[in-house]
Amino acid sequence: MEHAQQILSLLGSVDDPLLASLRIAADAADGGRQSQLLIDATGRYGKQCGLSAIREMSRIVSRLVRRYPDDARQVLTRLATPGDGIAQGWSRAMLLEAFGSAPEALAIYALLPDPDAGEGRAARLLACARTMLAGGDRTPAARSLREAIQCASGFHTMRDAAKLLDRLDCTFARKRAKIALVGTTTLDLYAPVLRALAFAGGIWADVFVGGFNQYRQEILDPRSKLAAFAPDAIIVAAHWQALGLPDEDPSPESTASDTISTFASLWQHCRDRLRAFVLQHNFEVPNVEPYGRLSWSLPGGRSRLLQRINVGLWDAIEHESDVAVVDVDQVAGYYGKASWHDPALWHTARQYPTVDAIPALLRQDVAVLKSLWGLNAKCLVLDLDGTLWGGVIGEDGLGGIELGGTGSGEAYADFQRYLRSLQHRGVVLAVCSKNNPDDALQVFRAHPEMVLTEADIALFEIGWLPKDEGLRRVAATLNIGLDSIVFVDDSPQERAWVRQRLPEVMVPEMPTDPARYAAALADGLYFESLRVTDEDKQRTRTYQSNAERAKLETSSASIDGFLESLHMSVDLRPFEEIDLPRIVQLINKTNQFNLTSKRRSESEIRELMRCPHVYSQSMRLADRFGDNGLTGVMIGIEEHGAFHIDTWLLSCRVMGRRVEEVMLHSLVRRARERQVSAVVGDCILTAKNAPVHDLYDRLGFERSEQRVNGDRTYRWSLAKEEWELPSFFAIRDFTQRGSHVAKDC
Amino acid sequence: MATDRLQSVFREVFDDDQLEIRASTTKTDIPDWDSMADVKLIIGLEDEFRIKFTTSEIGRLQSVGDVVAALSRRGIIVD
Repeated sequence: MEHAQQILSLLGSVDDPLLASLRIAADAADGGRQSQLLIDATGRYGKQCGLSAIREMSRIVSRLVRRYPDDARQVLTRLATPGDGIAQGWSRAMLLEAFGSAPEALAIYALLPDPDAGEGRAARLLACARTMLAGGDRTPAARSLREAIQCASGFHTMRDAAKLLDRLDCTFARKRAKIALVGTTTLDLYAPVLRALAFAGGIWADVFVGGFNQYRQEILDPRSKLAAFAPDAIIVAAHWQALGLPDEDPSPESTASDTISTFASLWQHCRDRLRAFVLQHNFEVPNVEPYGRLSWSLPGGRSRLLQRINVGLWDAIEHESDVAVVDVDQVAGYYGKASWHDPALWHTARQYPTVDAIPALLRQDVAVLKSLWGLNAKCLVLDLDGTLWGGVIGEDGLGGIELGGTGSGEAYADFQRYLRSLQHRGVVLAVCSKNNPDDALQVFRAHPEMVLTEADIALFEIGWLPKDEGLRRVAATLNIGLDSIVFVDDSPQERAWVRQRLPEVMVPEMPTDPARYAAALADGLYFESLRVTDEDKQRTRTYQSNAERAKLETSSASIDGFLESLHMSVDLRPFEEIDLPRIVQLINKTNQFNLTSKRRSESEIRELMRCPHVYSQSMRLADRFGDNGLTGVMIGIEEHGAFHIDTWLLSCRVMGRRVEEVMLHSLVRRARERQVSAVVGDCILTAKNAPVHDLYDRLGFERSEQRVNGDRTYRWSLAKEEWELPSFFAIRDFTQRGSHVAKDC
Repeated sequence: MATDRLQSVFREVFDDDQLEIRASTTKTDIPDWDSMADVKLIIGLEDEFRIKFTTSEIGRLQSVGDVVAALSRRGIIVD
């Protein structure tokens, strides 16, 4: 024992004396010695505490409590008076937790500093989550767990996180999904990592693990366990070795296209029979190749062929809306191919990639799933001073801040370029800064090196309120959830403040060097997208419009004046194939402005479109702030000499504009043309459609039938004159005869 | 002690807090010791003892005795 203590005292010059002394403690022969050495080690070298030391302490404590509980209690008593050592803090908390005093342990864990921003922070947050769960506080535990997983990167942390999921349920996620893992390698160890990463992304995943190299049978056999599982998404974790490519292939083009066709037909099965989205892993081009550079320079060389297959896979999915490719080669390269693959584990257990690389790989899969299920972040909120430029504008002035030129100024400009590219592909940028608005906006307006312009930013929240207040306002104005926001700020204090006050907001850890800002942000995979639409490219303008519109609405003198000032234009069209998804969505989801609340499936609507006695109308409304898109639907059915308004609805986005009168006017025109005697409409009362209960009355229809439950039928005789349409619409009507083209008749 | 650490790895892998292994314990003594458990054992042992097994060792860990021998080859003594 004296030897051990002597050695301990000599460790001061070692790299991590705490860790070294803890290892000595761990090997001590009995509880008494272990506890004494634990106290010595943490007392002597415990001012700071790294992650490895924490892990070692955790092992020591759990063994101590199990085998030598009396000695463990002694340690707890001796550590009762908190010293200034962080290591002793950790030991105390761990002992308290092991002895069942979860709330006391939590109190310590919550205030300990993070050993680092990644795995260390994750370990601390997991400890918080564990102790919260022990105390029955599931909601804060879920939040800590989510944050822990977001910081974590190692397999063991993910596995420990997944264990905690067993004490939560799907109500703590935004989406529940069944995800299957199939492929050509051992996939068991993927499962806990997938569950953890999915949970951090808002998905409660039920995971199916396929048999080794059974993926073809599982996908093709209608009686397979995979089919019975009925997955929402299937991850096809293929692996380059399973392709069995020779060192040099005599016909690389046909091998590549055969390989791709084989997968394409599997995708077809997944889509048509299993109705599941496919995440196809592409192929790592391995580091170790006997042919060396010939593997690339020869047309049939394996590396070149793998690359050809990978490019071919991207081409093949271009028109497949239900398949995405996960770029394993890219992830492996970023991770480092030398450590990506562990030959020993591969040979003995067919485990690929190495266990610690699994989280890096599955993060990509989860990013795809988040995009697929609309769980991506929507808005990036940026600080200004120290984030978009160096220095403080309020103090250094336009000439004093660092932006452009060389050195850090250039680094900030480069970060702005990265942000601008994000904006171009649909990410909404907003600013939240503690500044005088004039000072800050001056930089946008007058600094020659500014890359981002005022137009690139959907909303500026500049003032002196705390940042959580600013972020709440951003969320409210843009009408998005706090959990759709990513907040970037160079200040560790501001980041900590926001993390604490608004745990739903994602706050990536930022490095101190602006040259590394873009990488830190990119690493979060917050905005991964499956495709870019024109709507994405317009998005900032749409949000700016909404924000401007919101401001205008409160300042107009009269309603008509306001409506006039909007310069609205309306497009009326019969139902077209390309609009069907949106039309179906409106018909099934609209509640407020909906006269009959008739729900129909896509195939039912297609049926209607084929009938000559049906008048269909989809309405698009644009105004000076932007295009609101397809926001109105009307269906009129001609029978028994009258036109029945079967369906009439508006998205709540465009209520209060009188555009419904334009829709009705068009239907009435068609009715006249068909020479029916009247237009008839039902008003079916629901709890949600109070805004339209007296719509027909206001428009001058007469109540032809009133039922006991409140529902009524109205009638407009076409002998009456049409009422006057409001003048402030520019109307294009394609629903009248001559311009109506019946499809699929 | 190394023994305690070895016990805790086995307990973790087989998810059994009460598991007691001895030098004589073999694969057949623990029903859940399948090939998946092999992988988890390797990972757990490598993590706990900060060692790396060779391919030939991995294939040959059929009993606690084999594990003890592999550890002692690296200077880690388990009694």
